[in-house]
Amino acid sequence: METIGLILLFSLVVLGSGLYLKLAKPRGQKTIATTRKDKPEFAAKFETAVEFFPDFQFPPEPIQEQVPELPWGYDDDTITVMAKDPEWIFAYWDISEEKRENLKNTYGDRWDSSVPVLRVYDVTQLDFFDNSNPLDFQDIIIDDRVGSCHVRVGIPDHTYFADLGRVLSDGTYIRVARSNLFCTPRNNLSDKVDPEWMLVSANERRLLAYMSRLKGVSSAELLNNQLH
Amino acid sequence: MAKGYLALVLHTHLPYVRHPEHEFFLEERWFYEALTESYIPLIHVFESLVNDGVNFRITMSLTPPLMSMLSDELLQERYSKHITKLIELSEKEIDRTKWEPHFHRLAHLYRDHFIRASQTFHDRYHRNLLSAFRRLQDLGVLEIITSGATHGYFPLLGVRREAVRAQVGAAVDLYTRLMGRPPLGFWLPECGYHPGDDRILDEFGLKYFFSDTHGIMYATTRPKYGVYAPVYCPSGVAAFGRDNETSKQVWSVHEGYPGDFDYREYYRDIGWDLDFDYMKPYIHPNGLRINTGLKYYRITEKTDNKQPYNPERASQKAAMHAGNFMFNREKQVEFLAKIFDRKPIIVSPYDTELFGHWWFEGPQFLNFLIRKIAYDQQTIKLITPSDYLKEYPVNQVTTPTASSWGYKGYHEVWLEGSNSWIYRHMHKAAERMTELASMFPDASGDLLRALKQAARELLLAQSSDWAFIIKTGTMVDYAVKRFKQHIHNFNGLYEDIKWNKINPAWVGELERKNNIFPDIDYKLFLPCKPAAHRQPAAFGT
Repeated sequence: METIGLILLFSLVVLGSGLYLKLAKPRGQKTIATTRKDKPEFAAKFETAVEFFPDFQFPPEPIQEQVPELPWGYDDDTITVMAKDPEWIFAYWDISEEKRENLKNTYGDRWDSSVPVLRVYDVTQLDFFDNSNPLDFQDIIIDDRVGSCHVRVGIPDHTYFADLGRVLSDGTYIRVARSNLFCTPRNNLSDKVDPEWMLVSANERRLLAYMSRLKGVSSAELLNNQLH
Repeated sequence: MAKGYLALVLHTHLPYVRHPEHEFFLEERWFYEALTESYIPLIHVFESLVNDGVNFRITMSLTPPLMSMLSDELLQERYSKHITKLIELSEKEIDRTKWEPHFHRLAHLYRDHFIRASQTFHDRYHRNLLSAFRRLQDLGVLEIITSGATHGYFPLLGVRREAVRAQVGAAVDLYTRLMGRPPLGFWLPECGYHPGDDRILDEFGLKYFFSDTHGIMYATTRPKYGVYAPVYCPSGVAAFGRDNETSKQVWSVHEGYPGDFDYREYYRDIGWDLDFDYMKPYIHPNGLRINTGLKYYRITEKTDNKQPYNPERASQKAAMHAGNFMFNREKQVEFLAKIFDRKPIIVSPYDTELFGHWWFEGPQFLNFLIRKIAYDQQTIKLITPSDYLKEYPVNQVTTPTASSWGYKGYHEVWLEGSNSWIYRHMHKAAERMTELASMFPDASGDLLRALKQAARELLLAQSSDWAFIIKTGTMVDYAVKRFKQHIHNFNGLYEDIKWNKINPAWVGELERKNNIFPDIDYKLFLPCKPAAHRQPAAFGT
């Protein structure tokens, strides 16, 4: 029995290697494709297509661990604002269910018909603020259920803070939360000069003209606008 | 006598990617590729310059995540395997290409390149390349500076000032421990500056940082010398502005040197080009094709019919470009010296990975440039910011504007529709860390371990890389996962610490997995004084 088994095994090996030699592709020659159009990153999808490897199936990626979900918010009745560029800001807020309920109970039906706003106070150069003396303020209508918004406030190099609030139908304003102070960045040359640190004006003009000629990745367009 | 100075600044950063839980991890290859293609070739360039007695000074930032990865045993072990496998592949390539002379000699070139990298890594620096950089600093040719602990983007972390303070403090501590001296300068991640951040740098003994061009140009008081001399912030820390012209010549996709037709094409890699079965041992174990680093073509033109790479021609081009770069700097300095009453400094910062990884000939370019500057001209001299400050200790005082070197020059890259959701979690975690530090200022035992791990998880979540990757749209899943995982770990630790139910086994698991900053001082997160804003007195009432 053992001999028969061995003979069978041997013939299988011979048959198998014969088939392999017949079917296997020649290797080592002409292996560099010359007509690849896509960059590798974008080609990844196409590589699995029949064109390249008709016989190969990709095993799945290793099983990924579960990606934890983060809480929607932290129920702390706050609004935080950051300047994104000289004109735009990003605000996010987090109002607890409890606070919402309280406000609803206090104002009743009037609350339901009120308009949610982001009230942005301009407090540039102010030494004292008592809610009545901002340089300016603007109300931006928002959807306060979304939890965040990108809005345009418009003026570079100003100091602001913002309230999340509601305007009732009779015009009464109700503050829900108050933000941190934030400043929009400058986007032009300062008018202020330090008398101890000045080039003679002809030379300053030459320097600025020289710099405005240089087109960099990000600063140049900004400089260009300013220096001509 | 030189008429002015050039400060070449190489910013070297990779996010902290280390996954002991996986045998093969795609994102770890960022580190291995950067080692083989950029960091080691640059070490070779600097060493050859030292050996030849060339006089030069280069500023190089090595961010804390990168320093930690360079000195991490697991990653060293894995890189050892990686480079050994590359040598094996290049040997197979020598055999495979024996009838194709163009490719054959390139296969030889790659084998030599890999063997040399392996010798430097294994034999000369015993797997810790940080000691190579440290040696070059001690020899006086490199000035190595640090950066945010996990490359957090300061202007957006700054809502919680403690977060910025911890990013600076943890970085300075790590640098001092690993480099044997405190750092002199600081690379603000992404050149992201916010007025007042300089006070934190000052608190930790740092003398200077870099800002983008408009950060200096739009300072509160007009800068007398433009970006061609530093300014002092009110804290006394110096800010050096980036020069646009030098950036354009090297960075620009269209006009920059790296796009020259004779240079090596990055996007034609044998990992993608060759027969699958042949490449199988050298690509992702699950069959995903990846770059190997062996690339045989030159950029040629905008065509699919790429020509074989010719290293001699590319080398000649690198020498030509170095000559051109130097000539332009001479002209620039001559112009500036005429209108200034002091020697100007041109500050040219680049991402280090540009040299070698993207621009294969980049290290050669630097080699030629540094030698030419030393021997072929008299107008310019290489300098580091700290040396310039020694020569010119008196500078104009002003406050740069909030800015970055990202697209459009402000914070948009890290704060836009796709990635703005991360900030509520990041800020909350920082607030909670400060709360914990205040609650337990003298922790020990398991509580101390849990507090330190919470600080590590928070720092790792703060990395600017996650927001950047989410915005750019490649590998988004990885960035989202990393961010959420670190915040999730932090929140778990916070609850455990606060309610006195610390699980030492879980803390231990996290310590092994996210092991950056072994000696982190969690008290860096203690409440700190607010920035010196002009704050309305009754604000908040």
